[in-house]
Amino acid sequence: MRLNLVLSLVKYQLIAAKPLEQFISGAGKTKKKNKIFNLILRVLALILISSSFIFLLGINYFGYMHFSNMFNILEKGIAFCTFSGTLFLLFVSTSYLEHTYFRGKDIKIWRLLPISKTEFFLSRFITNYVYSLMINLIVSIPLIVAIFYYLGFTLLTFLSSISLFLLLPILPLLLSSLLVILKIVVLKGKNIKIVDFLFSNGPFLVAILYLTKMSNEMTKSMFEGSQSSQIEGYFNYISNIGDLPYFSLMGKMFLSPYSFFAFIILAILCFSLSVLIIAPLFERCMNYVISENNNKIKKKKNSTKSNSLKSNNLFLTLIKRELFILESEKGFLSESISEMFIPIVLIIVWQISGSLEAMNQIINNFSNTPYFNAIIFTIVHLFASFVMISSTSVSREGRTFKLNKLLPIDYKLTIKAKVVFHLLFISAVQVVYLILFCIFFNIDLNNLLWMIPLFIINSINIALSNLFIDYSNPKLEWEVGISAMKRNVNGLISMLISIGVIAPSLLIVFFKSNLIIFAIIISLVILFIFNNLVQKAAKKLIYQD
Amino acid sequence: MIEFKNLSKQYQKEKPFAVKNLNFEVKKGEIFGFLGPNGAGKSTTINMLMGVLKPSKGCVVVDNHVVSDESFLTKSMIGFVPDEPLFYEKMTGLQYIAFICDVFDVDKNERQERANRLIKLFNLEKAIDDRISSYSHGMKQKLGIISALIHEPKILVLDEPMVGLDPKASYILKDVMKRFCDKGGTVFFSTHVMEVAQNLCDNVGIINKGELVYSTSLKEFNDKEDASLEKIFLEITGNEDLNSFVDEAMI
Repeated sequence: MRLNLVLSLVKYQLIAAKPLEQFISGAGKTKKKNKIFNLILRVLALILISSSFIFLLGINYFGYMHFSNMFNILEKGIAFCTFSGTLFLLFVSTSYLEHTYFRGKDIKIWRLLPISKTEFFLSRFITNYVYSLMINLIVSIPLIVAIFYYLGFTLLTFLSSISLFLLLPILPLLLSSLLVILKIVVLKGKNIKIVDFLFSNGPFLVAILYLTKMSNEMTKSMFEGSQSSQIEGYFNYISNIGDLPYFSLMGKMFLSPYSFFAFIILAILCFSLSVLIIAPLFERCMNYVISENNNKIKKKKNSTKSNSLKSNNLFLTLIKRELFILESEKGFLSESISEMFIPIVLIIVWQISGSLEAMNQIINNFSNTPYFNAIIFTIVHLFASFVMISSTSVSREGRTFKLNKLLPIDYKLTIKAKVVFHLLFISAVQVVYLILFCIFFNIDLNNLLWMIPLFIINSINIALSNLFIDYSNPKLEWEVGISAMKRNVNGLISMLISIGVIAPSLLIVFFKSNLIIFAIIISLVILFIFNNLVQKAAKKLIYQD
Repeated sequence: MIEFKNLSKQYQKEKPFAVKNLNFEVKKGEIFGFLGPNGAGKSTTINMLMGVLKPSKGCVVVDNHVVSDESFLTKSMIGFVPDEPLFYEKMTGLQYIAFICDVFDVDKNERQERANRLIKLFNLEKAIDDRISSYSHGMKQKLGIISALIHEPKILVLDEPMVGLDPKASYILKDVMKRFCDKGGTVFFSTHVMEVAQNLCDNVGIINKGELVYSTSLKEFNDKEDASLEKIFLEITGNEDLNSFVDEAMI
């Protein structure tokens, strides 16, 4: 094992990947003025998103600590907070870990160089640790602030805070690394999409289940129990989690120097164990990944034998092209499909966690109000807003975007194809949800006569506004697919824009439900505006140098 | 057929011109070889010809249409093979050809026959139903050439077309280029291989540091000059004393 080489690999991986620059930069070929404006916009978006997370986590941390402080179990409160932070990091790290370990395009280069698999693994493990540290800023800052608030600033709290920041990512990194490796071992180079999906989204589902189960316990006691039983439930919850050895030690290290040293030793042990356990498994996994790639090529070689050259209308061809682009990178398709099924996943999670019953009760209380139709209609719109199919549509094309410049394809037709693809792929399923929601909540089905057209117009507006964002500053230069989709700030900016785009018509639906026609007219005006904007942005992008 | 009129390109105001004041014409039915060392401005010129880059000054005229004003129309007349193959990798070769046929609106009765002919010519029959992601560089290059020819363009623009091709495919491509011109088509291609240019072209132009420094018809060149095109190229581009340079480096 050559440690200097491992550290060099980490250094060059970070120089080449430029994670922060990747996150905040776009195409990088826009004019200087636009570049500065885009950079400011992206940095602002980054600050806004990070501070919202810091704020939300901070509120939770203060809540837990306030409660535990009242009952003199502050160390358990801190332990509970570190547990929540660990879950957060676990969920986030699974989204990029597999790529840095096995799917990065630079792996081909590494395989040609005299570097052992263990050296390579260790370098990637450290790289992932550095990434986790960056995300851990969001988790640790509010937690450290809350701890200083309750325990004051002492040498011990200061040193423990630094340890918390440096060592909190180790456990989630170990767990998610094991999960990724387990997935590859289970699949053994086979391409079974359902197993892939379950492993990739498992931690997220577990985290959601855990959080909803917890909130369900609380709402249950709110509706059914007395205040004392509610407090008891809450106390037990924090105590049980706070007693888990690893987290318990993390909570205690802020109060006792012995626990501080004990935790540092435990964390270092954990780190060393991670390397010792995962390194040999990694080697085997790399062989599976290589055989997986070979299998794919062989399978595809035998997959189609048509030999006929079908003729299509160009518009249909361009819609089909969107599907090919979606298929081009691992993660594009599964990300989009999971967006399609968000409502179903949520309903299943609520059903399993028992929250559905409580929600049903709340909904029944609202069902007699005049706003009920509008509430259900808004919920479906919110699902429709939180998709990235159009907001990353241009970015997903990557370097093949140049074909739009080289071939005589009308950009207006391309935009239409992208919008229709959005409607077919996402909105069609959401219209089904709208109908099912209306049936489930006993809403008069005549309402569908205005709901469906308005929803479709608003979906077109969502698609157009999202395309406008992506055409204005696409992320075309990427090495790993997730950079174009999951790590693309355009997706997040577009979600905010989408809400602004649908808000005017929804406000009319809420407060002037007898003037639906005006909601439709307003949506059509927005459609006209965004159609022009997206055409200008597309033209500029295609004809710019 | 193709006219470069005072064509210049400067990427940034402070930086030197990538292409400066290019003035030459490629006539209908001729093969024009565009030569130059790396970074001389060949790709920038080709990108302006294809309408991907806007000239800073001057223009490119294709069949009496100014490219920057009517790029949609001029692109429809050109079959282009880029230096780096660019495809939707999840499509099969055949699906990509169908895509190109749809884009160029190739008659549905003719496309099958043309495709079969070209696929057979470039020996891609076995791989045509495989995904492009499984192709080697040479196979991708062949697919690029088929895609450029399938819509029967008036002009063929090829950027380093021989790179990655096996000797047989390379021979076939040279033959295809000759026959294409015999039927009235025009070929504009860039290459680093001087022998290819000398044997194939009607006219050549050498570009260095963005400027056209040498232009000749090969017929005249072969009659007048006793030196090879390679030697002329090295002299013009300032690399005439390469032997002593290599000697020095290898010591």
